[in-house]
Amino acid sequence: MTTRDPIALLERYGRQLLVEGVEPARQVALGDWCLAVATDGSDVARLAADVALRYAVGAGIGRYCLADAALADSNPEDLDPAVERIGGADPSAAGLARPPVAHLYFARRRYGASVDLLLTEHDDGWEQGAGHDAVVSTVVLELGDPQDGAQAGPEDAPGLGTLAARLLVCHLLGLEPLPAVLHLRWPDDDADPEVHVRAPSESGAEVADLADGAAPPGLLAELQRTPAALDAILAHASADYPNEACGFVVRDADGSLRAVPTRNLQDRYHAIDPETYPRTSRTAFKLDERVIVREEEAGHPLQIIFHTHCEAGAYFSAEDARAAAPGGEPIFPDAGHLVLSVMGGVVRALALFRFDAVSGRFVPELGGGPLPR
Amino acid sequence: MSIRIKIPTPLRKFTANKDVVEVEGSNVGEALRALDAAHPGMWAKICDDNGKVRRFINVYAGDDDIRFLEGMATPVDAKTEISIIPAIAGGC
Repeated sequence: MTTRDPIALLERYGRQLLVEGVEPARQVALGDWCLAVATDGSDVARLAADVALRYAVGAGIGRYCLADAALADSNPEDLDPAVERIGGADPSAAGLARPPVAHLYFARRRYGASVDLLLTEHDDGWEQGAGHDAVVSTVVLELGDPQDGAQAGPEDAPGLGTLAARLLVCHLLGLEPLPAVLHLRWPDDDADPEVHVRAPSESGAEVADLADGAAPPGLLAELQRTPAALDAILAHASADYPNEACGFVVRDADGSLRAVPTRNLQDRYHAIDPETYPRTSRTAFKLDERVIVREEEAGHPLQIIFHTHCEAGAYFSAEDARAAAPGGEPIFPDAGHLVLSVMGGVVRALALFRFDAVSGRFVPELGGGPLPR
Repeated sequence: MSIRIKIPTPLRKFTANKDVVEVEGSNVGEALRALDAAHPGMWAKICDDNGKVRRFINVYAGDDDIRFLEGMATPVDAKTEISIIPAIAGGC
Protein backbone atom coordinates (compact mmCIF):
# COMPACT_ATOMS: atom_id res chain seq x y z
CA MET A 1 0.00 0.00 0.00
CA THR A 2 1.45 3.30 -0.99
CA THR A 3 1.94 6.04 1.52
CA ARG A 4 -0.05 9.16 0.81
CA ASP A 5 -0.36 12.55 2.33
CA PRO A 6 -3.51 12.34 4.47
CA ILE A 7 -4.58 15.83 3.55
CA ALA A 8 -4.21 15.08 -0.15
CA LEU A 9 -6.31 11.98 0.36
CA LEU A 10 -8.92 13.96 2.24
CA GLU A 11 -9.19 16.40 -0.61
CA ARG A 12 -9.29 13.65 -3.13
CA TYR A 13 -12.13 11.84 -1.44
CA GLY A 14 -13.71 15.10 -0.45
CA ARG A 15 -14.81 15.61 -4.00
CA GLN A 16 -17.21 12.76 -3.50
CA LEU A 17 -18.79 14.11 -0.36
CA LEU A 18 -21.98 15.46 -1.83
CA VAL A 19 -25.13 13.73 -0.80
CA GLU A 20 -27.67 13.91 -3.57
CA GLY A 21 -31.36 14.27 -2.98
CA VAL A 22 -31.32 16.21 0.25
CA GLU A 23 -34.42 18.29 -0.19
CA PRO A 24 -35.24 20.95 2.42
CA ALA A 25 -37.33 18.70 4.66
CA ARG A 26 -34.56 16.17 4.93
CA GLN A 27 -31.96 18.87 5.36
CA VAL A 28 -33.89 20.19 8.31
CA ALA A 29 -34.29 16.69 9.70
CA LEU A 30 -30.56 16.13 9.39
CA GLY A 31 -29.94 19.37 11.23
CA ASP A 32 -31.90 17.98 14.15
CA TRP A 33 -29.39 15.19 14.65
CA CYS A 34 -26.47 15.16 17.00
CA LEU A 35 -23.45 13.10 16.06
CA ALA A 36 -21.25 11.70 18.81
CA VAL A 37 -17.86 10.58 17.54
CA ALA A 38 -15.46 8.67 19.73
CA THR A 39 -12.11 7.07 19.04
CA ASP A 40 -9.72 4.67 20.70
CA GLY A 41 -7.12 7.43 20.63
CA SER A 42 -5.01 5.95 17.84
CA ASP A 43 -3.75 8.22 15.08
CA VAL A 44 -5.70 6.36 12.42
CA ALA A 45 -8.92 6.59 14.36
CA ARG A 46 -8.46 10.25 15.23
CA LEU A 47 -7.84 11.23 11.63
CA ALA A 48 -10.77 9.17 10.41
CA ALA A 49 -12.97 10.74 13.09
CA ASP A 50 -11.88 14.21 12.03
CA VAL A 51 -12.72 13.50 8.41
CA ALA A 52 -16.07 12.00 9.36
CA LEU A 53 -16.95 15.09 11.39
CA ARG A 54 -16.03 17.42 8.54
CA TYR A 55 -18.19 15.43 6.22
CA ALA A 56 -21.13 15.32 8.62
CA VAL A 57 -20.99 19.05 9.28
CA GLY A 58 -20.75 19.76 5.59
CA ALA A 59 -23.73 17.52 4.97
CA GLY A 60 -25.71 19.48 7.55
CA ILE A 61 -25.63 17.57 10.81
CA GLY A 62 -26.96 19.88 13.50
CA ARG A 63 -24.60 19.24 16.41
CA TYR A 64 -21.59 17.13 17.00
CA CYS A 65 -19.28 16.01 19.72
CA LEU A 66 -15.83 14.49 19.45
CA ALA A 67 -14.91 12.56 22.55
CA ASP A 68 -11.68 13.96 23.93
CA ALA A 69 -10.42 10.92 25.74
CA ALA A 70 -9.62 7.58 24.20
CA LEU A 71 -12.06 4.80 24.77
CA ALA A 72 -10.73 1.35 25.35
CA ASP A 73 -13.06 -0.77 23.31
CA SER A 74 -15.78 -0.66 20.73
CA ASN A 75 -18.38 -2.01 23.12
CA PRO A 76 -21.47 0.18 22.72
CA GLU A 77 -21.67 0.81 26.44
CA ASP A 78 -18.28 2.45 26.22
CA LEU A 79 -19.76 5.18 24.10
CA ASP A 80 -21.64 6.46 27.10
CA PRO A 81 -18.73 8.58 28.33
CA ALA A 82 -18.77 10.32 24.96
CA VAL A 83 -22.46 10.91 25.26
CA GLU A 84 -21.95 12.22 28.74
CA ARG A 85 -19.47 14.72 27.41
CA ILE A 86 -22.07 15.99 25.02
CA GLY A 87 -24.19 16.31 28.12
CA GLY A 88 -21.79 19.01 29.21
CA ALA A 89 -23.15 21.08 26.37
CA ASP A 90 -26.66 19.78 26.92
CA PRO A 91 -28.92 21.91 24.74
CA SER A 92 -31.79 21.33 27.16
CA ALA A 93 -29.91 23.58 29.56
CA ALA A 94 -30.38 26.32 26.99
CA GLY A 95 -34.07 25.53 26.72
CA LEU A 96 -33.66 23.59 23.48
CA ALA A 97 -35.02 20.15 22.75
CA ARG A 98 -32.59 17.29 23.07
CA PRO A 99 -31.67 16.06 19.61
CA PRO A 100 -31.58 12.44 18.55
CA VAL A 101 -28.03 11.11 18.68
CA ALA A 102 -26.06 8.96 16.28
CA HIS A 103 -22.72 7.44 17.18
CA LEU A 104 -19.56 6.72 15.28
CA TYR A 105 -16.74 4.87 16.94
CA PHE A 106 -13.34 4.61 15.29
CA ALA A 107 -10.67 2.17 16.38
CA ARG A 108 -7.48 0.55 15.20
CA ARG A 109 -8.32 -3.11 14.85
CA ARG A 110 -7.62 -6.35 13.11
CA TYR A 111 -6.60 -5.24 9.68
CA GLY A 112 -5.07 -2.01 10.73
CA ALA A 113 -8.10 0.18 11.28
CA SER A 114 -11.82 -0.09 11.51
CA VAL A 115 -14.89 1.89 12.30
CA ASP A 116 -17.92 0.66 14.15
CA LEU A 117 -20.87 2.46 12.71
CA LEU A 118 -23.39 2.38 15.50
CA LEU A 119 -26.63 3.78 14.24
CA THR A 120 -28.11 4.49 17.62
CA GLU A 121 -31.30 6.45 17.33
CA HIS A 122 -32.64 7.51 20.65
CA ASP A 123 -34.12 10.67 22.03
CA ASP A 124 -33.29 10.48 25.68
CA GLY A 125 -30.00 8.64 25.93
CA TRP A 126 -27.98 11.45 27.36
CA GLU A 127 -27.66 9.86 30.74
CA GLN A 128 -25.09 7.17 31.10
CA GLY A 129 -26.39 3.69 30.41
CA ALA A 130 -29.63 4.79 28.81
CA GLY A 131 -30.82 4.61 25.28
CA HIS A 132 -28.77 1.83 23.79
CA ASP A 133 -31.81 -0.37 23.35
CA ALA A 134 -32.38 1.34 20.04
CA VAL A 135 -29.23 0.38 18.17
CA VAL A 136 -30.32 0.14 14.56
CA SER A 137 -27.34 -1.67 13.20
CA THR A 138 -23.65 -2.06 13.65
CA VAL A 139 -21.50 -2.12 10.57
CA VAL A 140 -17.83 -2.85 10.96
CA LEU A 141 -15.78 -1.37 8.16
CA GLU A 142 -12.32 -2.77 7.94
CA LEU A 143 -9.54 -1.42 5.87
CA GLY A 144 -7.16 -3.91 4.47
CA ASP A 145 -7.80 -7.26 2.91
CA PRO A 146 -8.57 -10.16 5.24
CA GLN A 147 -7.51 -12.59 2.50
CA ASP A 148 -3.93 -11.46 2.19
CA GLY A 149 -3.65 -9.63 5.48
CA ALA A 150 -2.72 -6.33 3.89
CA GLN A 151 -2.46 -3.63 6.47
CA ALA A 152 -3.96 -0.20 6.25
CA GLY A 153 -2.33 2.83 7.73
CA PRO A 154 -3.09 6.44 8.59
CA GLU A 155 -3.07 7.29 4.90
CA ASP A 156 -6.29 5.33 4.55
CA ALA A 157 -8.08 7.08 7.37
CA PRO A 158 -9.64 9.82 5.18
CA GLY A 159 -11.33 7.25 3.00
CA LEU A 160 -12.51 5.38 6.06
CA GLY A 161 -13.87 8.48 7.75
CA THR A 162 -15.57 9.62 4.57
CA LEU A 163 -17.26 6.31 3.99
CA ALA A 164 -18.40 5.97 7.58
CA ALA A 165 -19.92 9.45 7.65
CA ARG A 166 -21.51 8.98 4.25
CA LEU A 167 -23.16 5.75 5.33
CA LEU A 168 -24.36 7.42 8.50
CA VAL A 169 -25.71 10.53 6.81
CA CYS A 170 -27.42 8.51 4.10
CA HIS A 171 -29.02 6.40 6.77
CA LEU A 172 -30.20 9.42 8.75
CA LEU A 173 -31.64 10.88 5.56
CA GLY A 174 -33.36 7.64 4.68
CA LEU A 175 -31.29 7.41 1.49
CA GLU A 176 -29.43 4.48 0.18
CA PRO A 177 -25.71 5.04 0.22
CA LEU A 178 -24.51 6.21 -3.14
CA PRO A 179 -22.45 3.79 -5.17
CA ALA A 180 -19.51 3.02 -2.99
CA VAL A 181 -16.49 5.15 -3.47
CA LEU A 182 -14.42 2.54 -1.78
CA HIS A 183 -14.71 -1.01 -2.93
CA LEU A 184 -17.19 -2.87 -0.76
CA ARG A 185 -17.20 -6.62 -0.56
CA TRP A 186 -19.79 -8.61 1.28
CA PRO A 187 -18.85 -12.14 2.37
CA ASP A 188 -20.59 -14.71 0.21
CA ASP A 189 -20.81 -17.50 2.69
CA ASP A 190 -22.84 -16.04 5.51
CA ALA A 191 -25.04 -13.15 6.51
CA ASP A 192 -22.35 -11.61 8.61
CA PRO A 193 -23.10 -7.89 8.84
CA GLU A 194 -19.47 -7.04 8.31
CA VAL A 195 -18.62 -5.11 5.22
CA HIS A 196 -15.04 -5.41 4.14
CA VAL A 197 -13.64 -2.29 2.62
CA ARG A 198 -10.62 -2.71 0.50
CA ALA A 199 -7.98 -0.10 0.81
CA PRO A 200 -8.45 2.87 -1.53
CA SER A 201 -5.18 2.29 -3.30
CA GLU A 202 -6.28 -1.21 -4.23
CA SER A 203 -9.86 -0.57 -5.01
CA GLY A 204 -9.72 -0.20 -8.74
CA ALA A 205 -10.87 2.08 -11.45
CA GLU A 206 -13.68 3.88 -9.69
CA VAL A 207 -11.16 5.47 -7.39
CA ALA A 208 -8.31 5.66 -9.86
CA ASP A 209 -10.54 7.68 -12.16
CA LEU A 210 -10.42 10.47 -9.63
CA ALA A 211 -7.20 12.06 -10.62
CA ASP A 212 -4.58 12.63 -7.96
CA GLY A 213 -4.50 16.27 -8.88
CA ALA A 214 -4.29 19.35 -6.78
CA ALA A 215 -7.06 20.34 -4.45
CA PRO A 216 -10.11 21.52 -6.35
CA PRO A 217 -10.18 25.28 -6.69
CA GLY A 218 -12.78 26.43 -4.24
CA LEU A 219 -13.95 29.67 -2.75
CA LEU A 220 -13.68 28.28 0.76
CA ALA A 221 -10.13 27.12 0.19
CA GLU A 222 -9.26 30.55 -1.18
CA LEU A 223 -10.90 32.25 1.78
CA GLN A 224 -8.94 30.05 4.14
CA ARG A 225 -5.77 31.21 2.41
CA THR A 226 -6.82 34.83 3.04
CA PRO A 227 -6.49 35.25 6.81
CA ALA A 228 -7.44 38.94 6.82
CA ALA A 229 -10.80 38.18 5.25
CA LEU A 230 -11.50 35.04 7.26
CA ASP A 231 -10.48 36.65 10.55
CA ALA A 232 -12.78 39.59 9.87
CA ILE A 233 -15.66 37.19 9.31
CA LEU A 234 -14.92 35.21 12.47
CA ALA A 235 -14.64 38.39 14.56
CA HIS A 236 -17.92 39.70 13.19
CA ALA A 237 -19.61 36.34 13.82
CA SER A 238 -18.63 36.43 17.49
CA ALA A 239 -19.32 40.13 17.94
CA ASP A 240 -22.94 39.89 16.81
CA TYR A 241 -23.70 36.78 18.88
CA PRO A 242 -26.33 35.88 20.10
CA ASN A 243 -27.80 37.42 16.98
CA GLU A 244 -27.04 36.13 13.53
CA ALA A 245 -24.20 38.03 11.91
CA CYS A 246 -24.02 38.61 8.18
CA GLY A 247 -21.91 40.16 5.50
CA PHE A 248 -20.22 39.33 2.25
CA VAL A 249 -16.89 38.95 0.53
CA VAL A 250 -15.87 40.74 -2.66
CA ARG A 251 -12.90 40.44 -4.96
CA ASP A 252 -10.79 43.54 -5.09
CA ALA A 253 -9.08 44.85 -8.20
CA ASP A 254 -5.84 43.12 -7.22
CA GLY A 255 -7.64 39.79 -7.21
CA SER A 256 -7.69 39.30 -3.45
CA LEU A 257 -10.73 38.59 -1.32
CA ARG A 258 -12.00 41.21 1.10
CA ALA A 259 -14.67 40.67 3.74
CA VAL A 260 -17.35 43.32 4.25
CA PRO A 261 -19.22 42.76 7.54
CA THR A 262 -22.67 44.35 7.47
CA ARG A 263 -25.47 45.04 9.90
CA ASN A 264 -28.22 42.51 10.32
CA LEU A 265 -31.40 44.44 9.45
CA GLN A 266 -33.78 41.63 10.38
CA ASP A 267 -35.07 43.26 13.57
CA ARG A 268 -35.92 46.45 11.72
CA TYR A 269 -38.12 44.52 9.28
CA HIS A 270 -39.58 42.34 12.01
CA ALA A 271 -40.62 45.47 13.90
CA ILE A 272 -42.66 46.94 11.03
CA ASP A 273 -44.06 43.70 9.58
CA PRO A 274 -43.89 40.72 11.93
CA GLU A 275 -46.29 38.81 9.73
CA THR A 276 -43.97 38.81 6.73
CA TYR A 277 -40.85 38.72 8.91
CA PRO A 278 -41.82 36.52 11.88
CA ARG A 279 -38.22 35.90 12.91
CA THR A 280 -35.92 38.21 14.77
CA SER A 281 -32.18 38.52 14.26
CA ARG A 282 -31.75 35.72 16.78
CA THR A 283 -32.70 33.17 14.12
CA ALA A 284 -32.59 35.10 10.85
CA PHE A 285 -30.63 37.70 8.94
CA LYS A 286 -31.37 40.32 6.36
CA LEU A 287 -28.37 41.99 4.89
CA ASP A 288 -28.15 45.59 3.70
CA GLU A 289 -28.07 44.74 0.03
CA ARG A 290 -27.21 48.29 -1.04
CA VAL A 291 -23.72 47.80 0.35
CA ILE A 292 -23.24 44.96 -2.11
CA VAL A 293 -24.63 47.06 -4.94
CA ARG A 294 -22.15 49.82 -4.09
CA GLU A 295 -19.23 47.40 -4.04
CA GLU A 296 -20.26 45.86 -7.34
CA GLU A 297 -20.68 49.27 -8.94
CA ALA A 298 -17.18 50.08 -7.74
CA GLY A 299 -15.92 47.06 -9.66
CA HIS A 300 -15.66 44.64 -6.74
CA PRO A 301 -17.71 41.59 -7.68
CA LEU A 302 -19.55 39.64 -5.01
CA GLN A 303 -17.94 36.29 -4.20
CA ILE A 304 -19.39 35.04 -0.92
CA ILE A 305 -22.38 35.88 1.24
CA PHE A 306 -21.89 34.83 4.85
CA HIS A 307 -24.11 34.50 7.91
CA THR A 308 -24.10 32.72 11.22
CA HIS A 309 -26.38 30.20 12.90
CA CYS A 310 -26.40 30.72 16.66
CA GLU A 311 -26.51 27.54 18.74
CA ALA A 312 -27.08 25.64 15.53
CA GLY A 313 -24.97 23.87 12.95
CA ALA A 314 -23.26 25.12 9.82
CA TYR A 315 -25.88 23.77 7.47
CA PHE A 316 -27.72 25.46 4.63
CA SER A 317 -31.23 25.69 6.00
CA ALA A 318 -34.48 25.52 4.12
CA GLU A 319 -34.92 29.23 4.90
CA ASP A 320 -31.44 29.94 3.53
CA ALA A 321 -32.26 28.09 0.32
CA ARG A 322 -35.63 29.83 -0.08
CA ALA A 323 -34.01 33.22 0.29
CA ALA A 324 -30.96 32.51 -1.87
CA ALA A 325 -33.02 30.99 -4.67
CA PRO A 326 -36.64 32.19 -4.52
CA GLY A 327 -38.66 29.90 -6.72
CA GLY A 328 -35.61 27.71 -7.19
CA GLU A 329 -33.72 30.34 -9.16
CA PRO A 330 -30.55 31.55 -7.46
CA ILE A 331 -30.16 35.32 -7.15
CA PHE A 332 -26.39 35.06 -7.31
CA PRO A 333 -25.74 31.75 -9.06
CA ASP A 334 -21.97 32.12 -8.86
CA ALA A 335 -21.67 33.27 -5.26
CA GLY A 336 -20.77 31.00 -2.39
CA HIS A 337 -22.84 30.98 0.77
CA LEU A 338 -20.73 30.64 3.88
CA VAL A 339 -22.56 29.48 7.01
CA LEU A 340 -20.86 29.62 10.40
CA SER A 341 -22.01 27.76 13.48
CA VAL A 342 -21.59 29.90 16.60
CA MET A 343 -21.93 28.20 19.95
CA GLY A 344 -21.71 30.32 23.07
CA GLY A 345 -20.21 33.16 21.07
CA VAL A 346 -17.45 31.04 19.57
CA VAL A 347 -17.39 29.97 15.93
CA ARG A 348 -17.29 26.18 16.06
CA ALA A 349 -17.72 25.19 12.44
CA LEU A 350 -18.20 26.56 8.98
CA ALA A 351 -19.28 25.32 5.60
CA LEU A 352 -19.58 26.96 2.20
CA PHE A 353 -22.41 26.08 -0.14
CA ARG A 354 -22.66 26.62 -3.88
CA PHE A 355 -25.66 26.35 -6.11
CA ASP A 356 -25.42 23.25 -8.27
CA ALA A 357 -27.33 23.92 -11.50
CA VAL A 358 -27.59 20.22 -12.33
CA SER A 359 -29.31 19.14 -9.14
CA GLY A 360 -30.84 22.55 -8.44
CA ARG A 361 -29.55 22.40 -4.88
CA PHE A 362 -27.01 24.09 -2.67
CA VAL A 363 -24.18 21.69 -1.97
CA PRO A 364 -21.23 22.05 0.40
CA GLU A 365 -17.79 22.79 -0.93
CA LEU A 366 -14.87 20.76 0.28
CA GLY A 367 -13.01 22.04 3.30
CA GLY A 368 -15.77 22.94 5.73
CA GLY A 369 -16.04 21.45 9.15
CA PRO A 370 -15.32 22.04 12.80
CA LEU A 371 -12.77 24.68 13.70
CA PRO A 372 -9.98 23.89 16.17
CA ARG A 373 -10.94 24.72 19.73
CA MET B 1 -42.16 63.03 -14.78
CA SER B 2 -39.39 60.70 -15.85
CA ILE B 3 -38.24 58.32 -13.13
CA ARG B 4 -35.17 56.09 -13.31
CA ILE B 5 -35.62 52.51 -12.11
CA LYS B 6 -32.53 50.37 -11.55
CA ILE B 7 -33.09 46.75 -12.53
CA PRO B 8 -31.18 43.96 -10.79
CA THR B 9 -29.34 41.36 -12.86
CA PRO B 10 -31.83 38.51 -12.26
CA LEU B 11 -34.70 40.61 -13.63
CA ARG B 12 -32.93 42.05 -16.66
CA LYS B 13 -34.22 39.25 -18.83
CA PHE B 14 -37.56 41.08 -18.64
CA THR B 15 -36.02 44.41 -19.69
CA ALA B 16 -34.03 43.31 -22.74
CA ASN B 17 -30.97 43.35 -20.48
CA LYS B 18 -31.34 47.03 -19.62
CA ASP B 19 -30.01 47.88 -16.16
CA VAL B 20 -31.94 51.14 -16.00
CA VAL B 21 -35.44 51.80 -17.29
CA GLU B 22 -37.02 55.27 -17.40
CA VAL B 23 -40.75 55.51 -16.82
CA GLU B 24 -43.36 58.10 -15.95
CA GLY B 25 -45.04 58.30 -12.56
CA SER B 26 -45.50 60.39 -9.44
CA ASN B 27 -45.22 57.61 -6.90
CA VAL B 28 -43.55 54.19 -6.67
CA GLY B 29 -46.72 52.27 -7.51
CA GLU B 30 -47.30 54.26 -10.69
CA ALA B 31 -43.69 53.90 -11.71
CA LEU B 32 -43.76 50.13 -11.23
CA ARG B 33 -47.04 49.83 -13.14
CA ALA B 34 -45.43 51.81 -15.97
CA LEU B 35 -42.42 49.51 -15.79
CA ASP B 36 -44.73 46.50 -16.10
CA ALA B 37 -46.50 48.08 -19.07
CA ALA B 38 -43.18 48.56 -20.85
CA HIS B 39 -41.79 45.20 -19.76
CA PRO B 40 -44.64 42.80 -19.01
CA GLY B 41 -44.02 40.42 -16.10
CA MET B 42 -42.07 42.82 -13.92
CA TRP B 43 -44.94 43.65 -11.59
CA ALA B 44 -45.57 40.00 -10.76
CA LYS B 45 -41.89 39.48 -10.08
CA ILE B 46 -41.83 42.36 -7.65
CA CYS B 47 -45.24 42.15 -5.98
CA ASP B 48 -47.51 39.41 -4.71
CA ASP B 49 -51.21 39.05 -5.55
CA ASN B 50 -52.11 41.64 -2.92
CA GLY B 51 -49.85 44.22 -4.45
CA LYS B 52 -47.36 43.94 -1.59
CA VAL B 53 -43.65 43.84 -2.36
CA ARG B 54 -42.51 40.23 -2.21
CA ARG B 55 -40.58 39.10 0.83
CA PHE B 56 -37.36 38.47 -1.06
CA ILE B 57 -37.46 41.69 -3.06
CA ASN B 58 -36.72 45.21 -1.88
CA VAL B 59 -37.85 48.38 -3.60
CA TYR B 60 -35.87 51.44 -2.65
CA ALA B 61 -36.89 55.01 -3.30
CA GLY B 62 -33.69 56.92 -2.93
CA ASP B 63 -31.95 55.68 0.18
CA ASP B 64 -34.83 53.91 1.87
CA ASP B 65 -36.78 50.72 1.46
CA ILE B 66 -40.33 51.80 0.62
CA ARG B 67 -41.53 49.51 3.44
CA PHE B 68 -40.19 52.20 5.78
CA LEU B 69 -41.68 55.01 3.70
CA GLU B 70 -45.20 55.10 2.32
CA GLY B 71 -45.06 51.85 0.40
CA MET B 72 -46.40 52.06 -3.14
CA ALA B 73 -47.73 55.55 -2.37
CA THR B 74 -44.22 56.83 -1.71
CA PRO B 75 -43.89 59.96 -3.86
CA VAL B 76 -41.06 60.16 -6.34
CA ASP B 77 -39.71 62.86 -8.58
CA ALA B 78 -37.03 63.17 -11.22
CA LYS B 79 -34.37 63.31 -8.49
CA THR B 80 -35.51 60.03 -6.89
CA GLU B 81 -34.05 56.87 -8.26
CA ILE B 82 -36.02 53.68 -7.66
CA SER B 83 -33.91 50.58 -7.11
CA ILE B 84 -35.20 47.05 -7.21
CA ILE B 85 -32.83 44.90 -5.16
CA PRO B 86 -33.20 41.19 -4.44
CA ALA B 87 -33.14 40.53 -0.70
CA ILE B 88 -30.23 38.69 0.78
CA ALA B 89 -31.59 36.89 3.78
CA GLY B 90 -31.93 33.56 5.51
CA GLY B 91 -32.01 31.95 8.88
CA CYS B 92 -31.16 28.81 10.77
